[in-house]
Amino acid sequence: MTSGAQQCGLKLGMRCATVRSLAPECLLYPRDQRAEQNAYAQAAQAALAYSPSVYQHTRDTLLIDVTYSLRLFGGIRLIVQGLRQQLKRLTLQVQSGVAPTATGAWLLAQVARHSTQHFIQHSSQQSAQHSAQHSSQQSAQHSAQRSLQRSAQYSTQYSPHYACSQPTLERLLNPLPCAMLPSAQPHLVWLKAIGCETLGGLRALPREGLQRRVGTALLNELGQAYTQTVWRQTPYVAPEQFIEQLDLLDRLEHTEALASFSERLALSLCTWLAAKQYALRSATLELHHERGRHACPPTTLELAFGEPVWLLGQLMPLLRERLSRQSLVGPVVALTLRSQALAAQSTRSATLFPDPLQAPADYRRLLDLLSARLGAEQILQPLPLPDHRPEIANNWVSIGTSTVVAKDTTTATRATPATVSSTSAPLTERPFWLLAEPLALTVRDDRPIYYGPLQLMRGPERIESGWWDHLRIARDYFVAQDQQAVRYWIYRERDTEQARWFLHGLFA
Amino acid sequence: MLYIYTVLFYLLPVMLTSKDSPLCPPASLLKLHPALWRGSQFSTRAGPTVSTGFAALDAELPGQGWPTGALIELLTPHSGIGEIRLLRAALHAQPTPQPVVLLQPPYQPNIACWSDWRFGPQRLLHLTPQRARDAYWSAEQILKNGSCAALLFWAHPVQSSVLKRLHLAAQNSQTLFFMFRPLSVQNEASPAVLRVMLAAEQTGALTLSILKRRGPACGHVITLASPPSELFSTITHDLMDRPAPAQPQPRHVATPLAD
Repeated sequence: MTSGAQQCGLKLGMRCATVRSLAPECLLYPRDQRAEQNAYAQAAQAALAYSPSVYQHTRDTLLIDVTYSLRLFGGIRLIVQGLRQQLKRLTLQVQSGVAPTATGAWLLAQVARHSTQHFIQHSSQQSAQHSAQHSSQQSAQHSAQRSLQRSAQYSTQYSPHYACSQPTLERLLNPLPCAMLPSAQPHLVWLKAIGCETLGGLRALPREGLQRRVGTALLNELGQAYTQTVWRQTPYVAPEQFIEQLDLLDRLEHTEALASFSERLALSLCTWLAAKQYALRSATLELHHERGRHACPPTTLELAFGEPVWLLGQLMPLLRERLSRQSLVGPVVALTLRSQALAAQSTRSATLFPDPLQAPADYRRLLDLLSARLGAEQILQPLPLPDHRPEIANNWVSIGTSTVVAKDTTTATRATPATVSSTSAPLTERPFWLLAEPLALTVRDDRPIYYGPLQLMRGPERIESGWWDHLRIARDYFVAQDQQAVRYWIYRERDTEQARWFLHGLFA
Repeated sequence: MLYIYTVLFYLLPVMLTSKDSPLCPPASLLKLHPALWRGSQFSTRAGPTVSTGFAALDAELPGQGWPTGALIELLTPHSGIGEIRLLRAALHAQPTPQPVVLLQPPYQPNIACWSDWRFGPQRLLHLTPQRARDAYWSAEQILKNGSCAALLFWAHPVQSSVLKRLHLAAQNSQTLFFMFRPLSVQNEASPAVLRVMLAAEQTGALTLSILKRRGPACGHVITLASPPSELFSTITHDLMDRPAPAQPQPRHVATPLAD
C-alpha cells in the first residue's frame, strides 16, 4: 500500500464505501484479473533471467531456486537486489525472503509483508532449494487506490529477510506465529489453549503426541519449513511469442507521449527476451484507435532491425524515432506490441579493449537508427556499375532495399581482387566530386568560363559509349584549373555541331 | 577545463614562493599533472592521433597527427582544392576498414575516385538529410555509435551550441571528426581543438595555416607539396596556358559505291 493510502487510513480488505468516505479523492477501479496475470508473468520472466527453476507457489508467490546461479551472479544479495530493481522498473512491489528451504523462504516473505503493512493483492515469493532460498512477494495494484499508488510508490523501504544458514533460519522462524502455516488454521484454538503460539514452540512439542492430535499435514508443513525437501512442481515456462497490450488511461494524440508508454511495453519485451535468450529481428507495434462508432483500423508500425537487439537501450532509440516519424490518423487508446522474427542471442565476451569484431554490429544498429529517422532514401551507399559513362558508373542506392545490399556485397567481394589489380596503375584520375547534372559553361575567347577563365591542364580523355541505349555520350574530358587553383573536370561534347562545354566534377 | 584552472590556482602561490625563477615553473611542477603544459610547448595530454601522412604537418600538430575523438575544423574557400586528398593518408592509416561517412557533402562523391584510392566502395556512406536538425542529429548519433572510422560533415551555418554538442559527442568515441566550414567563420569562436585553414596554389600544392591548436600559435604557413598522384605527378613542366582545342569539323566522306 502506498504511503498516501496509509495516511488516509485505508486498509486491506476495506469496503468500497468505507474507502470513499475516508479518501474521497481516491479513484476506484474494478479488479483486473488479466492485468494481475500479466504482472505475474512479467515477474516470472524477470526471475527467469536469474534461474531456470521458477515455480508458482501460491497465486501470488514465486519460488526461485537460485542454488546454481549464486556463483554466476556474485552471491545471493546481488541476485535479490538485481531482481528487486528489475521488478521496480516494471512498477511492481515486492517482498522477498531468502532461506535454505522453500517453505521457510515463503514464511519469511510473509513476515516482510505483515511488517510493512503493504497493500497486497498479488504477491510473489521466491525461494531456492539448496544452500540459499530466496523468496519475494510482489504486489501490483490494479483495483482500488491506483492513483494513490502512482503518486507515492515504493516509499516504504524495508530490508528482505536473509536466512542463508540453518541456524539463522531456525532463529528467524522460531518466533513466528503458528497462524502463518495454512495447515495450522483448524487447530489454532487448541494450540493457543496449550500455550503454543510460535513455530518454535510447536517444534518443541513431542512429535508422536502432536501427530495423534493434529494429523500429519501440519507436521509435514513444519518439516518442510525447517528441513530441505525436494520441490516437486513444474517450473514456469515463458510463452513462445510475446504479445502484450497496454490500455491507455486517456486518448493520446502525441507520439512523444506514446513513446513513453511504449517504453513500458518494450521493457517487458526485453524481460521476455532475456528469459528466453532470444534476440529480436522484427516486431510490430499496433496503435489502436477509437473503438465504437468512429472505429478505424489500428495503425501498424513495423520495426525491423538489421542487427538483432535484446536490450532496452538498443530497442528504444529506434522505437522513438519510428514513432516520431509516424503521423497519427486519430487519438490512440491502446498499444499492442508483438514479437515477429526472432533469433538467438549472440554471446558477447566482455573485453577490456574495444573489440573490432563488434563494430559491424554497431554499424548495422547505426544504420537502423539513421534510417528510422531520416528514411532509407536519404542514406546512400555505393553500388558501382561497370560502365565507362561516369554518371552511370557512379551509382548510389538507398540502403533500404535489402536485395540491392546483398547484391552489392557479392559484387564487392567478387570485384575486389579485380579492382585492386586494375587500380594498381590507374590510367587517368577521376575527380572526387561529381555534379549530379553537368553544368553548361559559357565560352569566351574560345575558353570555358566558370567564375573566371579556366586553364586546361590535361586532356583530352575521350569517353564515347552508350550507343545501345538512349544515354549515348561522346565527350572529350579535360582537367582544368581556375585562378583560385580549384581543379575541375570539364568536357566538351563531340557529337553536335555547336559543341558546348560542361562542368562535370571537381578534384578534391 | 574547470579542472585545469583549479590546478593552476592551487599552484600559483607555490610558483611565486619557489626559489627558482618565479615566471618559469620548475620541471617538477610539469610532472605534477598531465594537464599542465607551458604555453610554448605542445599539450602533453594529446589523446590518440592518426598520422596525417605529411611529415611537415605532423610536426606542427600536438600528438603528431589528427586527433581522434575531437572536433577538427577545416576552413576551405571552395570545394575542389584538394581537401579530401589531404585526409586520404589518415583514412588509410586506420587499422580496420571501418566506414567513412560523408554527411551533407556539397556534391555527389565519385565512387571511381574512391576505388582508385584503394578504398573499398562499401566503406563509404553518403547521407543527405533534408533538414539541418536531422543532419546534426545524424552526426551526433554517428559519433555516439563510434563504429565509423571518420565523419566528414559539411554544414553552414552552424550555431556554436551545436558545435559544442558535437564536440562533446565526439569525445566519447575514436572517430575522426572533420567539419568543413567556409573561410568566413575564421574569426568566430569554436570549441574545436584544431582549426586549419586551407588554400590551394597554382602548382597544385596545398597551403595550411593552423588557426588553433593545443600548443603555441603557429605563425607560418605549411605548404604541402601535391601528394604523389598518378595524374598530377606526370606534369613536370610549368603550367602552360593551352588554348581550347579547335572545334571538331564534321566530315562527310563519300562512300565509294560498288561498281
